[in-house]
Amino acid sequence: MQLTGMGSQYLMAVRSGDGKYLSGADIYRLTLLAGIPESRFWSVMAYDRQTRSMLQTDQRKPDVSSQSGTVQENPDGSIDIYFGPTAPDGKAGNSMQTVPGKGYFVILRLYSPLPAFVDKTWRPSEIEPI
Amino acid sequence: MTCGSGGSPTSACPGRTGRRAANTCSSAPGTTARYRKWFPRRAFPDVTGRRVRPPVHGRQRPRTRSQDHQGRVADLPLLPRNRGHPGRGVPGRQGTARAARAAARNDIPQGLGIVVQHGPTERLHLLGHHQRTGATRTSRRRRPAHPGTAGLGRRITKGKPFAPDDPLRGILEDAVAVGNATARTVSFAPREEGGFTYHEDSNWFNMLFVGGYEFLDPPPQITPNGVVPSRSDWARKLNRTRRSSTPTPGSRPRRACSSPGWGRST
Repeated sequence: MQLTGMGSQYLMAVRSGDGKYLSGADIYRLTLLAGIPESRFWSVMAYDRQTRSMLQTDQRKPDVSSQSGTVQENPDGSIDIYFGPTAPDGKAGNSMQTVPGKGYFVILRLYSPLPAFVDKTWRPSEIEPI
Repeated sequence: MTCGSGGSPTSACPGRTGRRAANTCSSAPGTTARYRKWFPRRAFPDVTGRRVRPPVHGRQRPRTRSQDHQGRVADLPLLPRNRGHPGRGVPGRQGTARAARAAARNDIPQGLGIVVQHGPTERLHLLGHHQRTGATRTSRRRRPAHPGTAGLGRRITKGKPFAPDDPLRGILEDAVAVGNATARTVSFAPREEGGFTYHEDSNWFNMLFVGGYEFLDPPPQITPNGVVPSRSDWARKLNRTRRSSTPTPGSRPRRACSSPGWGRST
């Protein structure tokens, strides 16, 4: 049954792929494989672990999403998202600024998710330190 | 108010009639079951505590009666639920550019005193009961106020100024520090963390995958043949309850419905 047009599914991550808590001083990469299972839009945001509010940085909002209009796709259709105090060269549109000394967690949101999320045939990469 | 310190809301209770403290904004559950969830607003550094209205023809608009009473619970910016009309959208209200900070954020005992003075003790007791037991909305009942949970047993008396001495102030501040550490631990390092990960070997998780919005059974599956309920073991998943309720109080069925294109999980 496809009831499109409403709702979302969320995934949260507090730790990186090596099992350590995400640190605002380190640089990480998250890869969203092609075919992100949403029929409206997707969003990745970072939140302060102490206040559970959005990270407050020089960026207007700690958000990289299909609606931001700045996200670059890889040749295979996947999308790399970077977290760190500074953005890698040429990746500012795919980067989220973090604060050294401050922990955070990440929420991936899929609006109007598709079956690939429910049956888990699609999965995001772990947030890997680089 | 400090920019960069994140959200800092003031909590108000149903029935509160007094004016709010200067330069604060309140958010509270309503008096009916429809508005249980709290939506504390983030702090903005450039607001004065009053609703921002643009000037008209260069002149500042006069304050309305509603603005003069905006400290009342009835005027608080609540977000009603969508009643199932997708085309209509959610009738949200603008919450930006409004002051929001914790009452006496840096003075915990004073903040406790303010909460007791402005809120009915019945509500304080209910909140304490909910936090202790993880009770859901259906299991909560109105009960007489209990001095221990309402804070009255700690020399905070409704109608009297609260001026704790140094030992009591230290006890209260220690309690806040322990509470903060506990909340962060159950939020970000819960037991059985693997029980609600997206995949077994993944750090991505959602607390509702295992127990649904009531933290009892996995959500039912929506299939072409209809709704297929999950098998129940009649055990409440307390670790998931704590993990979910501490950072994100409130729960509802739509959070946990596993139907593509419909429902939300948190």
